[in-house]
Order: sequence, then C-alpha cells, then structure tokens
Amino acid sequence: MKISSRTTYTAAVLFWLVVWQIAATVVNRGLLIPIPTPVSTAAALGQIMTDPVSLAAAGLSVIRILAGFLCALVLGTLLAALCVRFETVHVLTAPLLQLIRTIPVASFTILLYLWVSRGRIPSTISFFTVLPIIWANVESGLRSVDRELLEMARVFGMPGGRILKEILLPGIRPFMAAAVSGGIGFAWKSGVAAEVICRTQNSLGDLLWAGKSSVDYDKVFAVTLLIVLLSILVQKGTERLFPKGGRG
Amino acid sequence: MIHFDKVSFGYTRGRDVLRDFSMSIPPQGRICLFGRSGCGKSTVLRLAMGLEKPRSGRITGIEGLAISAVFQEDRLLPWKTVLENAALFAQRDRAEDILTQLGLAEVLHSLPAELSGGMKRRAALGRALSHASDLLILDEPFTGLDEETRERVIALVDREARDRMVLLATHDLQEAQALGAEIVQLQ
Repeated sequence: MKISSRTTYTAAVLFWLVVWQIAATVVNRGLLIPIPTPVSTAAALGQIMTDPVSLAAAGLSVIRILAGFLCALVLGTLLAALCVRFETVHVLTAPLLQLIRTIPVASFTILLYLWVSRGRIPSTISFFTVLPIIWANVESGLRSVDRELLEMARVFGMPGGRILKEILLPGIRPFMAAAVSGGIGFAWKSGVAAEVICRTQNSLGDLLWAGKSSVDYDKVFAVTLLIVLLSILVQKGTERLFPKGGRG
Repeated sequence: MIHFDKVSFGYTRGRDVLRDFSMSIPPQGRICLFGRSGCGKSTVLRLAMGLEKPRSGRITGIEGLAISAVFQEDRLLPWKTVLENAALFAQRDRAEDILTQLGLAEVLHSLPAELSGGMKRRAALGRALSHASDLLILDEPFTGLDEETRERVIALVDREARDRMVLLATHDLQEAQALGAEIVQLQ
C-alpha cells in the first residue's frame, strides 16, 4: 500500500512532538524554570488565540510585513524592468543591489533608527530584505524572455500592452513565482527580527519580548509557533496568487 | 507596391550580405527568393519585416502594411495552445477554420511542446494565414512536411494569399511554381 507524502510528513511531525515531550519531561526534573513541552506550548497558544490584544498584535505584524513585501514587489519589478531596458541603470545599480543584499538585518535595523520611526522599521526591513530577491529574479526572467517571440510580435504589429500581457508576463512568471515564494519567507524572518530588535509596540516581536521579560517560556514558544503558522499561511496565499506554471 | 532600391546590408561592418539589391513586389504579387543557403534570402525577409535597416539604399511601400510571417523557427508561444497561438492576431473562428484546413483539428487545444515538428510548422502557418495581412512573408514555410501534406498546405496558402502580396524564401523551385511566384535568384 502506498502511503501519501502528507501522511508520512504528519507522522514525522508527531514523532518529533513525542520526542520533545519526553525530552522536556526528563530534563525538567530538578529545573527551576522548566522548558516548555508541546502540551504547555499548546495551552499558551490557546491563551494567545483568545486574547484580543495579542491577536491584534499578530494582525498588525502581518500587515507591516506584507506592506514591506508588496512595496518591494512593485519597486523590485520596476527596477528590474529599468535595468533590462537601460544598461546604464543596470551598471549603476549593481553595487547598490550587492550592498543591500549583504548588510545584516541587525545593522540595517540600527541604521534605520536614524531616519525611520520605530513603528515603520519592521516593514522597511522587510522591504529591503525582499527588494534584491524580487529585483534579481525579475531581471533574470526578463533577460531570459525569448527575443524571437518579441520579434514575431513586432512583425505582426502587436501593441506594447499586449506584448506585456501575452509574452513578457508569462515569460517571467516562473521567476516571479520563485522570487515571491522565497521572498515572503525572508520578509517574515527579517520583519519579526526587526520587531524584536526595536521593540515595536503591538507586534509579534513585542509578544516575544513580553514572554522573555516575564520568564514565560511557554509564551515565547507559543508566539514562535504562531509566527511559523502565520508564515506558512501567508506563503501558501502568495503562492496561490503567483502560481509557478500552467497554461497561460 | 514594395520596392527594394539598391539595398545593401551586412550584419558586420565591411561584410555585406546584400549589395545593391533591387526588386519590386506589385500589389497581389508573389515573389520567391531562390538561392543556396547563406545567400541572403532570410536577410531580405528580415529587411521586409522591418527587423533590419539597410546600410544603404531604400525600401519603400512597407510603411503601414499589416504583415504576417512564418519564420525559419516556428516561434509559437509555448504557454498557449495551438488555437490560442493562431488566434493571437485573428478572430477565434477564423483561426479555428484555417487550422482545421491545415489538418490540426485534433490538436487545437494542445500546447506546442506536444506537437511534432510538422504540426508546429503548420500551426505557425495557421497563425500567419489567419491574420488579415497585406503582406505574407514565408521563410521556408513547408520544411518538415510530408509530400501529401505539403501539396494540401501549398493549395491552402495559394487560396488564402489570393489578395495579398507574398514574399517567399525557399530551396525548392517546385514550391515557387506551385504558388505561381516570380523567382528572384540570389547569388
């Protein structure tokens, strides 16, 4: 009998939850501050999910991170198009792209303190983390579009708007899908990291801090779990909006 | 009327593919460019399509013309079905009718990757014939077709190109004769 990959994946998750529960029970004997178990984490998550203030904080984090991501999607696509159209723009912006890629989130967050209000830092960090991913992928996609198809469209007198719709957008779709799928994950990680570093009020990062300050590690684990679940949810949503393939 | 008047062109400086080339295509005229590989047939077609500019000389009568073409490569959009490709520049019904006459009724909703070489060639022809163009440019359009299909396709091109100018490049004089085209020999 063939077992589906979903079943085996669920079995693997259950296996590690059991390992976690046993390990925590053994290690917790004699510890002053016990490490969370799957059961205590689930209970803490239940509390968060029924607390309107915590839910609002999670919702605001999602909005902040998605705002940064969407701005990066628009600007990254625009910059990629300009780089392909004008080689000078490509040459001039190449060092900038490299610089943005290599600056660590922590350095960037501290630097942004100088110019950006604390509430806007997480979305700005998400923006700068995702921008080079979208930019580079869309630029590669545009450069890989078949020149012969563009020539064909030109000979048949296809207008610019239709060339965009019929040839360019389908041509870059796999690249865009890869950029969006990878980018949203990075947007989450960097956005939440920025929320923690700059103690953004009403955020998932703030909830993590609150758990740590009150030595409530069940809450820290529960918030982390919530971040992971929201990340998966948002990733699935964006992958549905930007499918990898299929018929045009 | 299209005129090529002493047109010279080369892809690299100092190496002309065409030198002082002249020809005319009268309204509803058919011209077949004939010659060995590399003699410049495709270059003349690219100049007529407006994809290249002459180094010297003039091409007149092309401006404002609706052009449809079959290139050496099929140049079908890989993410669109055969019918969607042919209907890019024509009404869907018209495209479907032409494709059916080309023997592609069974594969209208297939993607180009699912077709044989000969089918792709016919799909490219279907796209060019469906488009209501003034000038039909055909670069080795019948390559890869078996004898029986070729005869049927040539007859269809002959019928569909009745009111248009045709510029054809081929190695095969019989194709030119079947279309009643005036032959221009390229050296």
